[in-house]
Amino acid sequence: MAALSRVRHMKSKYCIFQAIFTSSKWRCQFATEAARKIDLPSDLKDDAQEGLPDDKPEKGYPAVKPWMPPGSWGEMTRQQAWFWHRGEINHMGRITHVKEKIKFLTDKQMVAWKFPPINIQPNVLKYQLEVTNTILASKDDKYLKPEIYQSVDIKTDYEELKKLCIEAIEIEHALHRDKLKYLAAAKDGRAKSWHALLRGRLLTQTILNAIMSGASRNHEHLQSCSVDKEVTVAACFQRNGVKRPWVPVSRRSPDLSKELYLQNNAMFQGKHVVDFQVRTSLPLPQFISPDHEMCMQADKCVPQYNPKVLGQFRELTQLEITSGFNLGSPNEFTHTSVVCEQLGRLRLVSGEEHWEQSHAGYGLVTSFLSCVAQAHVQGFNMFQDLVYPFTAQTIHTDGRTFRFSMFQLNSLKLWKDPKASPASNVAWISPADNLYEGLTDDRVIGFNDEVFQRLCQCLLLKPSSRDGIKLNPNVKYKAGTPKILKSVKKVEIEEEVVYDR
Amino acid sequence: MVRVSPSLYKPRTAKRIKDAFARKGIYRVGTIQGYADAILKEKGVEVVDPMTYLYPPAPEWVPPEDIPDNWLAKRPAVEDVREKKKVWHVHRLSAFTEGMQQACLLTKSQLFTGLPPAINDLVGKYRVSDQDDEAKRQILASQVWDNTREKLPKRFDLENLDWVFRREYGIPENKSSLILLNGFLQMAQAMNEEFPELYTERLLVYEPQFSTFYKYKEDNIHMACKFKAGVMGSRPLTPLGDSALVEASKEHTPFDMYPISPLVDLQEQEVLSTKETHGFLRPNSSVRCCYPQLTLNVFPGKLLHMDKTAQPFSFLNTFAVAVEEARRRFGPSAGVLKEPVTILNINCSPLTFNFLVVQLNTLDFTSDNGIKNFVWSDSANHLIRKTLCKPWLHSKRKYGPPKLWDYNPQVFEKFLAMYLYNFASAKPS
Repeated sequence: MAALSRVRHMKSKYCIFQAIFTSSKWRCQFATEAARKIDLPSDLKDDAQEGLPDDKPEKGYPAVKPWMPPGSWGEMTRQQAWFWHRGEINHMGRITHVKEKIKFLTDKQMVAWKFPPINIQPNVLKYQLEVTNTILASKDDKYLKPEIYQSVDIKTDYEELKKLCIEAIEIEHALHRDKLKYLAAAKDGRAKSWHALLRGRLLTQTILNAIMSGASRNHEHLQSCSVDKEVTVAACFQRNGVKRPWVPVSRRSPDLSKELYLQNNAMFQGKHVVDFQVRTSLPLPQFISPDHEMCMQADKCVPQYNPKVLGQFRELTQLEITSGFNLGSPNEFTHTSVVCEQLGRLRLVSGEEHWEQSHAGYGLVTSFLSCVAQAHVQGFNMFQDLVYPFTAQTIHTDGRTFRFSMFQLNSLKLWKDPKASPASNVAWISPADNLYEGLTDDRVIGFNDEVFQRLCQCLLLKPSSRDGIKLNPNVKYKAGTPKILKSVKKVEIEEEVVYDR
Repeated sequence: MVRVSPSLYKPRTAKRIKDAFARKGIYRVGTIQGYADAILKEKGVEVVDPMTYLYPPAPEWVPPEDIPDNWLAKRPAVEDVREKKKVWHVHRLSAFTEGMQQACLLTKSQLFTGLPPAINDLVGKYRVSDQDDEAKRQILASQVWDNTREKLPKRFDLENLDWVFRREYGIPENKSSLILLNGFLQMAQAMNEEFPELYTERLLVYEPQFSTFYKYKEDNIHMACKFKAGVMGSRPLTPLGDSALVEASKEHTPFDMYPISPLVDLQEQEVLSTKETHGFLRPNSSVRCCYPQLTLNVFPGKLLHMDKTAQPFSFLNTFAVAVEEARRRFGPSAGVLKEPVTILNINCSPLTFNFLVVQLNTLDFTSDNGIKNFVWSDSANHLIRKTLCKPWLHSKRKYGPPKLWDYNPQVFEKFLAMYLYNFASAKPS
């Protein structure tokens, strides 16, 4: 009887102990203490880090892994830094197929901040520069373009191309177009924006075709390039210093997932349709050295406000990364993007200053999304940073008014704070200028040579192999190209005749 | 009067208050029965309905005194007295009963099968660098590499009508045809190096449109269409049928489809008699490249009989462009033309190309006798063959990508020959 009562007492004590043991708090504590005793796999151990000042071994326990992973982490906590490091080595580092890499990043639905190129909120350019970690290269409000454009040879074909361009504009205006009479919806407000956009697209297409067909004799990249119309470009990225729009209820408890909850970075998703996209098999040359002082000013690009304050929206969305084509095409690098929406109604309603911000931001974000998408296609991502800078150029035009935007992407680690990653991106945005003033008696008047020179320099800029470096070092297997097969006619034997000898 | 404080102004509470007001009745002035009404009246307290404070009633409208008595009388209906005429419209979806023969009847034309000898001699004579590889790349770009994801029409397979296909997303056929057409044009423009006149004496324009009608015997035939692209040149194309062939066309007997009228597949419409007809260019325009040389169009890939649908439609539209061009150069009432007007046409689907050459010799359509116009038709040139997946044959009911078979290199050679006609000779130097 005494023994039975002792068992019952032990059992009740055990029940209490079990209740305490299985509670989350004690479980976590027990788990962390147990984890310290486990010997981690060798790829997480870093023998070189032992004995460093950051190493803080617990009393009585040997140091299994260093306090912080290799690299600079700024103000990140230990758990956050190891979360990212694990992502780079254990997950992304083991995937060698481009398609699988992109699928790993985008195979989820989450609440992300919308980052469209067309943003009609006021004072939006500063916000877009901060989110994209970009320095605007300008000196006393004067447009400076990258020096590399001075090396583009346009003198040999200049007069012929100018003549072709003028004829293209004249014939486009001479064509009978029932409803598309007006080019822009600004000022008079008579024309509908949609008609102005269609008209602008047709005029732009005629001008681009005239220049590219005329110049293709002396420029190889124009012969083998792909020119696509109305393609979708989408990219997602994480940016430091922006509050997450929404965290699932199940992950809000600090005990369950500190890495996700306490991080000060949020996901952005940008997606839009580019009117014309010229793609080549080699990338554009870099505009500026990544060691230049303009590329090291990430501390000036810290987001100041919550996007909600600036009128931005968030949505539950399927993440998407696409560079304007499905994987398999040999022409993987975007040479030039052309967009035709001029935001005429915004100019009419909100004024010049507001329009100028949104118009400039449109070209900037188009170039940024193009660079980020191109980088993902080559196997780079937020875990595996760029080895060489990606560049893009965007022509924002309706056939008459032109604006040129150039962008250089130096780093994809936008989720790191400026102390950890001082690299910043650089953009050059020109003011909007007219290629011609108008037409009189079917003849172009006021043709602007400066704008035409810039247009030619954009289209005739030769892609480069970047001094022979491997353009996709993180990729072993690329997407296969489907083949056009040859059918073989089956010979059916109906009857076999055997002759007697 | 009740004023709801901000803390109570939450949607749910406000809704409850409103529901309560609606259920328990609206407070109306003077409806209180009992002591309160009399007492308040004695004391001179004015009782006001609180809802009138929030939603004051509109003032009573008093009609003005100077309105005439017959202000309700209806206005007399304005009759449309503009002159209209009946026309027979060639609609895009019309399938011609007798195909190209019917279209030839409507245009007083003589049909030749195949391409004319001058263009046939150019087929295969000139090649773009890596022609076949480039053409295959353009085909793959139109079928596989474009990242458009639009809802495709649900398909069915005749081999297994019981199978219900799931919804598919991809490149619509119209866009696929456009991508292929633009790709082939880009390849053809690579010949600028060998023939510099191709880019100095020609311009490519997009979506040129026209609208015209001409009198066929006693009926007006109306056509209005928008091509996908057009090539305008600085000089007209050389006629392909020489003067002997033109004279010999007098002996040609037209196709007889009695008792069916040739207008059977056209739509009857009414248009204003003052409706203007126009070609690609506005009247009195003075651009250098004002002669239409080549027109390009697309049609759906599911059309089975191209000779009854796509080809006659493209022929009639190209013919209409030639008619407008002849009127612009020689006047509207010209009969037999001094110089024939020649226009080429290429129309395609994602898998098939059709080629047409139209030569307009006369604008006299009053009778079937006399000189005829010419049309050369080469249809059903299959570029590739495409087979779609059959999931019911797979053990796991798997949907696979479509397969492309049997690339035909002759199609692009014909395309290039049509593009180079009048700029390249049949005998390379």
